[in-house]
Amino acid sequence: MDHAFDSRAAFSAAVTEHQRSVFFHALRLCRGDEQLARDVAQKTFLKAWTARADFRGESSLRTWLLRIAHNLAINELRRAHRRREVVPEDDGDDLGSVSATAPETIDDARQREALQHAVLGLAPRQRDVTLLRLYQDLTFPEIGDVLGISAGNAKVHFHHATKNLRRQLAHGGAA
Amino acid sequence: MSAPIVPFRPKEAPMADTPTDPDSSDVAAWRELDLVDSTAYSDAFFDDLANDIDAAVDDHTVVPLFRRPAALAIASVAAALLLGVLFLPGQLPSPSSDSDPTAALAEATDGLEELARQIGRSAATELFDEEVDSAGLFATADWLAIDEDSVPGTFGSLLEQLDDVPGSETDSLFTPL
Repeated sequence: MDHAFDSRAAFSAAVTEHQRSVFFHALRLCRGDEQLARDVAQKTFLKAWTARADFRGESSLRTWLLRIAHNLAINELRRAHRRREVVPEDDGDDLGSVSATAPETIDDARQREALQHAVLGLAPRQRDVTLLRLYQDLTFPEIGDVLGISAGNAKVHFHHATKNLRRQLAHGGAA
Repeated sequence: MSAPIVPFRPKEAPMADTPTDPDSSDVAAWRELDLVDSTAYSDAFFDDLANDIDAAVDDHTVVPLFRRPAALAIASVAAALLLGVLFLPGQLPSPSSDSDPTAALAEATDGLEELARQIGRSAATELFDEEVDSAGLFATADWLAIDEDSVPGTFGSLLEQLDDVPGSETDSLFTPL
């Protein structure tokens, strides 16, 4: 359903279809903070509903929702960082929130922890492109739509991100 | 005949739109691992989230401004304040408010002067009225005005007896005084 919400029923259908993408993107950005990600998801759809007239269909509904969610999550992270409610982005020592998601094995947990540390330790633009590319299965033009950059720029960022991730994970011994 | 323009930059290779990068097995491993354990979130979790979103949207459904209780309350207070400012007790219209204030003051002064004159006239009338109460102050003067035809009392007989007393005796009587 890639059109603006023309009714409450259409909006509810869009929520059902896209809430997982929105929630998990916010969850990854928020380092596994479930409550924060839930708030971001709720605010995302609320903002989408109130600003539905602004959606002109130039991009897909999914990328539009992800753009809203991404910006809201970044704002929430900055706000939380100012309140010292979560660890700063550059401090990857405390990753307890990842362990709280009940992974299947301890080995998986360690690898996931190392991967999260590496991805979230990237430069912000490389981190954003990596999250959208790896876990939202977006194409580079779609990533460009979400982040407001060109497709080529998104591809360059992803290239540098993979190089940095390989180097960092090789030092950490994960993945 | 001009030569064809040769671009300085070679054409970029077609961009792979597919999410998977065939040249990197690492990318596939990272995608498989994920940063969060998505299996920990069941359908019930998302049903609950969807209900919360619907409730939040319903709460923020646009209501016409004149139907909002807060707007009505604000409008009522504003109307009351406006009426209060326009019709303060000191600002109420009065008969003299249209004229010169000095004229109103002169009217009041004339009224007081007339009242004072009336009080003065009334007091003078009572003071010099001929029909004065006998028990009042001027009754004594009337009583002191001795009528020679009246029956002589104690005071009159004393004077008559003094007239009969010789002068030498009266001198000796009054000299010490």
